[in-house]
Amino acid sequence: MDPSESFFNELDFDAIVVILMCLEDPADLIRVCSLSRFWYKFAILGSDWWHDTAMAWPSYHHLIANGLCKKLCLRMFPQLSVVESVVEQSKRLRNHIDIGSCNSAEWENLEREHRAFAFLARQCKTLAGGNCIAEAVCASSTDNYPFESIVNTLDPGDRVGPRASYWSSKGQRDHTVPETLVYKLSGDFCVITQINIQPFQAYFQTGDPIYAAKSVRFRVGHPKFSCPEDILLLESIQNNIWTDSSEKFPIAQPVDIPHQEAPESRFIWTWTSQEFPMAQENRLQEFKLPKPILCFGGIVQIELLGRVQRQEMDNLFYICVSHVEVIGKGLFPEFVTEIFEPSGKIVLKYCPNPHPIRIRSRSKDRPLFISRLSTLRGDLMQGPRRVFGRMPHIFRLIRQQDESDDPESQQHEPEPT
Amino acid sequence: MSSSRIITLTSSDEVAFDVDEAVAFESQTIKDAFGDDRADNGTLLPNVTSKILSKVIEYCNMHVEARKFEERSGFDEELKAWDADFVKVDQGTLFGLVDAANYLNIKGLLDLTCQTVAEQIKGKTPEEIRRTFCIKRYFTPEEEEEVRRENQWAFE
Repeated sequence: MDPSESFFNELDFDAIVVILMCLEDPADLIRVCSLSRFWYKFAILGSDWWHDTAMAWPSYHHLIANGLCKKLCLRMFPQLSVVESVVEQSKRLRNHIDIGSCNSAEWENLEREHRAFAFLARQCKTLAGGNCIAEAVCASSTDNYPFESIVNTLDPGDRVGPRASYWSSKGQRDHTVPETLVYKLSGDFCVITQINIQPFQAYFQTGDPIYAAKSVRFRVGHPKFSCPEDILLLESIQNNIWTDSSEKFPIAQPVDIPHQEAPESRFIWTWTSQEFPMAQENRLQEFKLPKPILCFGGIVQIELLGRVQRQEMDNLFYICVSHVEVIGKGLFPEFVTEIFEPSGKIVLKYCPNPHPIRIRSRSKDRPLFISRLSTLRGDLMQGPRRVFGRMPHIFRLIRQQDESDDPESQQHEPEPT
Repeated sequence: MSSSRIITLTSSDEVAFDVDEAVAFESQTIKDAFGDDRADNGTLLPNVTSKILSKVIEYCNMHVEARKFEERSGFDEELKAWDADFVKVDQGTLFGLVDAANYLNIKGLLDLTCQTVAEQIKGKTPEEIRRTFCIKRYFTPEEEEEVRRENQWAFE
């Protein structure tokens, strides 16, 4: 054999695909692409391309999901299989590499996918995440609403100044009744690696009880708005956010969506975790996900399973949480997801050179559900807050006092849906 | 109980190897070809030289024997060590094994040899890969520059 000839030339292409798929690091695959025109085309198209005649362009259905970068990404993130297509938005004029006779539109499409998946794989591997929760969306139940609302879990620790800061569920006789907390992340498209939860220890109650749960489970997904009633719900949630500049009352809280109605009916979950046991300890507990998880739509649900602590006063089981963090990385602005209803189709938009200011379109055809949710919170609680512990009867007395003091105020209960 | 038959595999350079049916059937291709047809007991493999074929048979022999000791503790590590030694061969032989494993459809051998080749690619610059595998350059310098620019992060 001529020593200047590569052994690779002798190999069957299926074998080459097996070799390339052994490369775990997408950077290695990209470097192989730069070896020659053949390798570039091969890495993008895979061996199915060659199995049809080498000269003519194979029909499109043979090319579906052949890209090796895409395969690598699918192996890293099986959740990517819900993405129907990738489009690229780039203003830069590309000099396309000449690869002989082929259908240039289809080739461009595959090149786009290749670039997007290559970038995605690299971003996920070089993850240095932080807390990417942007907002609290809803809780399955809240005690002493809105003072013990889910909003409090956004602040680290169990206190803000002199005031206890935590979320509390309503009390239950049955310790198996679960609770859920739903959060919105800082981008449409995030990769998360870990979730941290600190249960609340009621330091003002005898015995300093810790109101943890027995175990937790996580889900990621996106909002579902497939029926008119859901649109109405969103409107009513938005209407419930009222602003009151008076210093006495908290303002703009997310409403409760009762557990039996949501979140299953309000959101589509693309991934569910295993159950993690929760320690009955007052510390920020770290729940590491078995592998990085892609979240399309930026919604994370924390399910708290099994109650352990009764409140002495009323002998009911409660779950309370003082702080929640979702550790990960938002891939915005390079990636934007669009979710089309009612098909649930997801399109990934890849913008390699994103502009610093982005204007989102709100055309009727393609509602961007994520941006609507982001207006839910409005302004945060302002002004001095009261220290209300787990003493509901005292709270009620003070509330009545306040209402008589300030006739303009409006306390309202969460609207039934 | 009938004794398992012997199958004769003849390489491209006309060297004949007699192997047990069980060993030969490590190759899915051979297994499919012979199946229940007991009349046939040999075949020519025009794509495999005797040098490669003897290595392939060595691999199949080992792995068929090894299955008898599966329950023994520490067995996995021993087999892995044997496999690692098995692929310490020159490039020509390694690629010959990849090709033969693919043609004969021996999954374990294909995975083992492809992984070995991949290890030689990992972490190398394109120039180093070219040198290791004697790959000729087919991009124009401008095209190569374009690929590098698109994927700058992979070359850092």
